[in-house]
Amino acid sequence: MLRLSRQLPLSYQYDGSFEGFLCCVFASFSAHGRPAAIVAEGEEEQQGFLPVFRIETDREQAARVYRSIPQKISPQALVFVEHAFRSCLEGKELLLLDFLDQGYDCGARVLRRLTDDTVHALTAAVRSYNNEAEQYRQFLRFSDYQGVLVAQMEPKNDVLVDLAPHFTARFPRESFLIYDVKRKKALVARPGKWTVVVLEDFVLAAVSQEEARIQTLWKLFYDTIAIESRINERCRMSHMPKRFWKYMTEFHPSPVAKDHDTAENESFLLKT
Amino acid sequence: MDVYEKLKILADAAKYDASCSSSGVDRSENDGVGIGTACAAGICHSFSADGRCISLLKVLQSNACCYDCTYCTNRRSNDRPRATFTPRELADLTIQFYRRNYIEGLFLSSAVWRSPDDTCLQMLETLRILRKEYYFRGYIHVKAIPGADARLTHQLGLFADRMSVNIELPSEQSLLRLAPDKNKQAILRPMGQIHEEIHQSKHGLVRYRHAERFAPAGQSTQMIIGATNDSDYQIMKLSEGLYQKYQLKRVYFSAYIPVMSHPNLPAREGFRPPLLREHRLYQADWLLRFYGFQADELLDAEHPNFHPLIDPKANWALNRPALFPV
Ligand code: SF4
Repeated sequence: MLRLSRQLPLSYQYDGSFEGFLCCVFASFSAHGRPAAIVAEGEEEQQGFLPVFRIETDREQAARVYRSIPQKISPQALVFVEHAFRSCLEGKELLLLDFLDQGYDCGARVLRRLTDDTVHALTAAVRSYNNEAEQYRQFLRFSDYQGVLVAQMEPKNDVLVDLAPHFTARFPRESFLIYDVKRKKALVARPGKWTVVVLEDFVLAAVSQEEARIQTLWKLFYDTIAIESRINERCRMSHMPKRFWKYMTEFHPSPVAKDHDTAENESFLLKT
Repeated sequence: MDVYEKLKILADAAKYDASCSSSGVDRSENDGVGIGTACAAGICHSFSADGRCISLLKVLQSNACCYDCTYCTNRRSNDRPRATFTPRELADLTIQFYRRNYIEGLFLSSAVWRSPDDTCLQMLETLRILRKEYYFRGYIHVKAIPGADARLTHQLGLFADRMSVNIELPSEQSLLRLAPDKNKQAILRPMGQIHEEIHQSKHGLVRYRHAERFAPAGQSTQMIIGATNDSDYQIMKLSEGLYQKYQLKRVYFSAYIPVMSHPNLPAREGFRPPLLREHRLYQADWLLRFYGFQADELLDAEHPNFHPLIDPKANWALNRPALFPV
């Protein structure tokens, strides 16, 4: 395959989805050149003077690029690209384009080119992505709303879909919802199936008395088992960074339960 | 008494190392030799203010003990609040914590409530509700109760992922002195049984119904360090013997934390838990388990203790100038 040697005097704009990004890759290879920037909708500020070329998302094109990655590079490379795309690395689109350009040229070896700036930066981003997904497997906290388990989080990386295999295996018979507060989307699971939906306006009602009781018991357990003569704040923070505490039950003020007679308790409110 | 009061008493009673309940399993053990944090169940769900990993709901079924071990807050003669969970209360609590992703499972131990058999039956019923009524698939570590009927120990092992029996103290004299109701035989018997059953279950010598497996994650034990004057040499010899004889997964050491005053115990005033000694023992234990060292190579009757400031491997080298001429 021809390398992308030409610098295109324009920047691409796409819809921010993975498919949209794959279409930018398709467009670059069709033009035999790389754009000066690839920018998701809504992040337009830094594009400067260059003309903006809008890339429409086309499922057919996206699927072609998607299939080419395991075929021409390796299946691991596809996982790597997906994780890197969901990471919070700035300018990841151009780096991924460069990664694919190198990968189509040299095959599976590209993942081991750790001295290459692009591969190095992406590898670090993927590592941070995986660490954060693992941290949410540890630190995510659910509350029971009328039998549905609900958790909220604010991850730096877009780890939501990577939580699905773990929690669907953990709760095979539960319905649950994990809400990404900043990205305004939720993983919604019922026994045997799950999906990701956009929830613009997500408001949680007050918890039931039974839920408040369980939360209080957990806080009691958490506070009870620390051994005072061994208090070690630095150690706790290094294992469990402060940014996770916001949604962790053990650090909440004592829960206030609403009485059962209010309508709010019908269910937590979902508005799309 | 409501569950809140019970949990307060029974979680508190389980947290100190010097009692039946202690484990060390969920201790964060990153001591620079690269073991990482050892979590019984694989996932740490939280970290307590002392920096230790919280992975399991670690509680006692009961702290109303009819024994009188000197070092233990739950001893019969100590005046303190007593509580006992009903099996239903404890099973429900475990499930509700598990559903909310607070924990990975249950670490269940108990003081000797009424008799070893009665205690065992309560624990058994807790585990039965979890496994058979709630189909709980999380992790369960249970402490066998020395002196209980072998059939009850067997049943416990079928519900648990891991079992352990505390060896408590490094020597028989220490046991006699500090834990008069316990004896070496009562501790070693279930340890032998568990070892035997794990072995049979693993090698298909006994076919369990419903393909049940006996404590598939193995057996461990733990002992208190620094409450008696047993030497590091005695401790290492004992660990070595336990690894060989019972094929334990781990021997845990826990620095004695004084919670009681008694003429047979170290004075409480100014006593500091021997954390560094505990750390040295873990390093030495590492040498035993992974580097094929023997206790006699690390220490001997003339040098019965590790130097607190030198790690055991360096200590070993220093004592052998012939091998390492400087
Ligand atoms: S048997 Fe001994 S160590 Fe165990 S709870 Fe009773 S007094 Fe404490």
